[in-house]
Amino acid sequence: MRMLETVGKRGFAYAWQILRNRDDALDAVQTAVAAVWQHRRKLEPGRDPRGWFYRVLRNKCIDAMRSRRTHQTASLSFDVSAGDGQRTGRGDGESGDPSAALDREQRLRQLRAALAELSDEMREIVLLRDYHDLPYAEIAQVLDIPQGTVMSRLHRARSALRERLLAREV
Amino acid sequence: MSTCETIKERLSAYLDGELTQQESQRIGVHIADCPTCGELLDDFRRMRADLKQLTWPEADDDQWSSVMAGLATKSTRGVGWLLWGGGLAVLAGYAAYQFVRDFTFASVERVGVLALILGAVLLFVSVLIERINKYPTDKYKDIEK
Repeated sequence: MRMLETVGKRGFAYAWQILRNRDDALDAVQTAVAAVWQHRRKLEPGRDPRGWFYRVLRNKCIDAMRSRRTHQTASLSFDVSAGDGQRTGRGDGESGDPSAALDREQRLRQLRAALAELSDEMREIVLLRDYHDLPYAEIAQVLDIPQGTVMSRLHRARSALRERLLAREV
Repeated sequence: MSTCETIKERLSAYLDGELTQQESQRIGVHIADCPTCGELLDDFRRMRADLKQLTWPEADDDQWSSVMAGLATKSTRGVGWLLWGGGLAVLAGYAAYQFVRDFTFASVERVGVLALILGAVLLFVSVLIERINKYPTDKYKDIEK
């Protein structure tokens, strides 16, 4: 149960990125945690449960979006804003130099803006790898695509993100 | 010698440590001699470090407590229902057996009660089979009540 709590807490950000609403994200995480707990015996011993959990959670988020927009087609649309009035970046690394902190804040703001310009598909894979820290095998499980596709899609996404960041520097 | 284009396609996976040892070595050798690919790799590395620094909302402790408490309740309730149903089935079976063996009741009464019990069991089993057959295609099965 401790393992589920750790994975679930991280998964909350993923649900929030999809649903953009705290209550909906919490509901999705709660149903995903319950579903994974119910079928926990299917998990192979020693295997990282994150891929499985994120896949279940992603499906719950899609269900939530479908029920939210009954007359619209549900599609994933990732939110990259900090949300809930939080700051852009995590607190570490701000050990005193105000100009360095300002510079970092500015850089992260540019990164968010560049992320927002990516397609949902690209944004999702970049976040799964670089924010949620999932290995390729787990990402393949979450998105239900071959591992080779993860590799090529992630490369395209990072290249596109880099191009947008470089364009902002000019 | 590998061309830059084929190397660039693998740089992302190289950064993530997702290539075989042989492929990694091949790319490592190329990067040492190619400033263009080295620069791209540095940019990817910087982007990855910055992406880890971004923040999104987190669930607070109270909200987590309620999620985990709901899970514990669900597990306990499942075991409770199982014990209750099992106990009831054993008791009902035993009572039926005793009733059929009790010759103070007339044969007609015993046969009638036995038929009622058997009928109830068959109805229950038929509903159970129907539910099991429908489960894989039941689109509402994941909906929380």
